[in-house]
Amino acid sequence: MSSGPAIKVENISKKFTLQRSIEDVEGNYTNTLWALRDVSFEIKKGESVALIGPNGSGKSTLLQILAGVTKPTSGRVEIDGKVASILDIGAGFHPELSGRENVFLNGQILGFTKKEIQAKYDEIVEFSGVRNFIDEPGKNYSKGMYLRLAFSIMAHLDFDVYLLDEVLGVGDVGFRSKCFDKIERLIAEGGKSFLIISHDLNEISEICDKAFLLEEGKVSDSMTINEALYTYTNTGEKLVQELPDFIDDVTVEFTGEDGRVKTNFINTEPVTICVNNSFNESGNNVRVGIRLTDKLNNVVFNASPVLSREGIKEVDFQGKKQILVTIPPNLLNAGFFSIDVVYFDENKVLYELKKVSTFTVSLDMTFKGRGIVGESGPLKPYLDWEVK
Amino acid sequence: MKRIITSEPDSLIQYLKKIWEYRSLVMVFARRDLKVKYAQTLLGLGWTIIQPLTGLFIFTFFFGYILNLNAQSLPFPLYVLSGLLGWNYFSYIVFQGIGGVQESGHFIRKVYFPKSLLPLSKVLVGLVELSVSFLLLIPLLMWYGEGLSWRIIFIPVLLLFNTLIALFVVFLVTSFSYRLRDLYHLVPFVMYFGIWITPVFFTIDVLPEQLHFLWFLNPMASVVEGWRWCLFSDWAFNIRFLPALLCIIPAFLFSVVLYSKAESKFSDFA
Repeated sequence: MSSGPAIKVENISKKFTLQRSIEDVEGNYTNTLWALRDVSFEIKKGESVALIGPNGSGKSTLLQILAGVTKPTSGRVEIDGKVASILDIGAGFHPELSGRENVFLNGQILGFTKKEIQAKYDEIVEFSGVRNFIDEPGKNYSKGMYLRLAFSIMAHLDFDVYLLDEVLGVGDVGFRSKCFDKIERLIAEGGKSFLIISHDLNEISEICDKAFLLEEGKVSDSMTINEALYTYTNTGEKLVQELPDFIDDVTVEFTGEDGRVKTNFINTEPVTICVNNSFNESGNNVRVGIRLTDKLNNVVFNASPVLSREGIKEVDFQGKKQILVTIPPNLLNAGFFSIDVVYFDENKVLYELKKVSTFTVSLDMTFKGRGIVGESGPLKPYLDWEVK
Repeated sequence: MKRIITSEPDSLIQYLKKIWEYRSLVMVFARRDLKVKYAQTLLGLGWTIIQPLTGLFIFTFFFGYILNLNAQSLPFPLYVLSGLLGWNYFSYIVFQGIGGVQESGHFIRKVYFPKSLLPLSKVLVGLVELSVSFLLLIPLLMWYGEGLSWRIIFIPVLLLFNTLIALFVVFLVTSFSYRLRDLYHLVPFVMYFGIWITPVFFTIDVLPEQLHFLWFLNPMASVVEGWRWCLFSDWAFNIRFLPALLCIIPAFLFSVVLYSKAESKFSDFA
C-alpha cells in the first residue's frame, strides 16, 4: 500500500432538491439545499477521526459519498484501500435469512469471497456473542444483535478504511467496550483508518484522536479531539437562560495565583473560581453553589460554602458580592471545564444557570510527573501510593 | 486499490468493469431471493415445481379436453405452454427487475454495488423457474407424441435474446422511474396489453391482415415463435419476425448506457 493519505477529500459539494422552497440566509426563496459545501480534508493511514456536528449538518451525506452510495455534485474523493461502511444497523441484512446466512451475505456484499468469510466465520460469531441465535431468521433479532453481527463482520475481515455512522450507540455497555477495544487494536495493527460519526462525545473522545466539525455543510480545519469537543459544546444551539428573580446579575471569573483574571491554566497551578452575584431583596435564604462539568458535560463535582465536613454551615449570602473557591493544583486533567451556578434553599434547588463561564487546563509539558498514562478523564491527581 | 469518486457517472467501460468486479453478488442476490421467496414454508424449493405443474394441468385440461382446439399442427395445450415459456420468463424478469430496484431502496442508500446486479440476479432466478417449466413440458410432449426437434441446440441463442429484451425493458424503465414512479405503475398495463400482441394464447390469424405488422414489430412475438421453432420439428418460423429480433441488440446497448448514467442517482431518490 502506498504511503499517501487513506482518504483525500477535495472540494466536495452536494446539492439536494427540496419538494418545497425554503428561505435561505439572504432571504431568497430556493428549493436547493447544499448539504455539503466545498468540503476538503485528509485522513492519514492509521488515524481515527471523528466527524462532529449538529443534526442535519451533512455528516451522513459525507459518509454516504465516501462509501460510494451517492455521488457528489462536484469535487473529488480518493480512497486508498478496501472500505467497510456501516451507515445503518442491519443494512445489507435480510430479515428472512438466518444470522449465519446474513454473515455470508453481508461479507460478500462487502467484497469478500465465501472462502475468506468461512475462514473467519467462527471468530465473527464468537465476537458477536449471538452464537445461540445464529440460525434464527434476522427479523427476530434486536437492533443490538444486528449491530453485534454487523460490527463483528467488519472487524474481522481485512479492511483498510472504516466508516461508521452513529452505530455503536445501540450496543450494550459490555459490547461497546469490546468494540472500543477491538477498534484500538485494529488501529494499533497499523494502517487502518476510522471515520466515525457519533453524538456520544464520550465514545468519540475515547476512540478518536482528531476531529472535524461540520456545520451547515461546511467543514472545519483538522483539530485535536479536545479542541473539537470544546468548540462543539460551546457553539451550536445556545441555551437561553433567564436569571431568577432574586438575582440582578451573575458572572463567573477565574484567577491564577497572581490574582490576574484568565481562562487558560496549567494543571500544576491552582484555579480560583470567583462567582459574582448581586442579590436583590427577594434573595433571602437563597444559598449558592457551583457545579464543575468537563468537556463532555459530565459533572465533576458539586460544591457550596454551605457544605462542609461538619455538615450544613449557615452562610449569609445576602449583601455579599463575591464567592471564591480555589481548586488545588495537580487535580484537574487537561481539557476544558464549565461552571454552572446553582441556587438552592433548605429543601430544594431553586435555579441552575448552566455554563456561565468556561476555562481550559493544559498539561505542564515540563513537569516530570506528566507520565504516560492517557489523558482521559476529568481528573489527574497525584496521590500517595503504597506498593507492598 | 485506489478508488476515485467524482461527480461524473462512470463511463460505460468503467461501469462494465465494476459489474465484473462485483459479479459474485449476482449469485448471492439470486440465492438470497430463492431462499427468501420460500422462507417459512414446509415445501421450500418444492414450490418452484408445484406452480408450473398446476399451470400445466389447467391448460391441458381446459384447452385440451374442454375446448379441444388445435393451433396449426399443434395440440392447443402444447401451443400455449410452449408460448408461456418465453413469455413467463420475460415477464418475471421485467416485474422482478423493476420491482427489485424499487424494493431495495433502503439497501441502495447504505451499501454500494452496481445497481444492475439486482436485475441480473433476477435473470438467474428466472432461469431456475424456466428450467423447471421446460423440464415439466418434456413428458407432455412425449404424451402427445411430439418428438423434440434437433433445433433445441438453438435454445441458448434464443434465451439470450429473450433475456436481452427483458433487461432492455428493465433498464429503460428504471432509468426514468427511479425519479418519477409513474412509469413503474404503467408497466403492468403494458404487459397485459403486450401478451395480446404476442402469440402466446392466440395464433397469428386472430388478427385481421392489416394488423399483422403488430406481431412483427414486437420482438417478444419473435422470441415466443422462436421457442416453438426450437421445440417442434414441423413448426415454421416466419422470417418476418427476424428484424425486430435483431433490433433488440442496439436497443439493449442503448438501455445499458442510459442505466449506467442514471444509476448513480438512484440512492438520492430511493
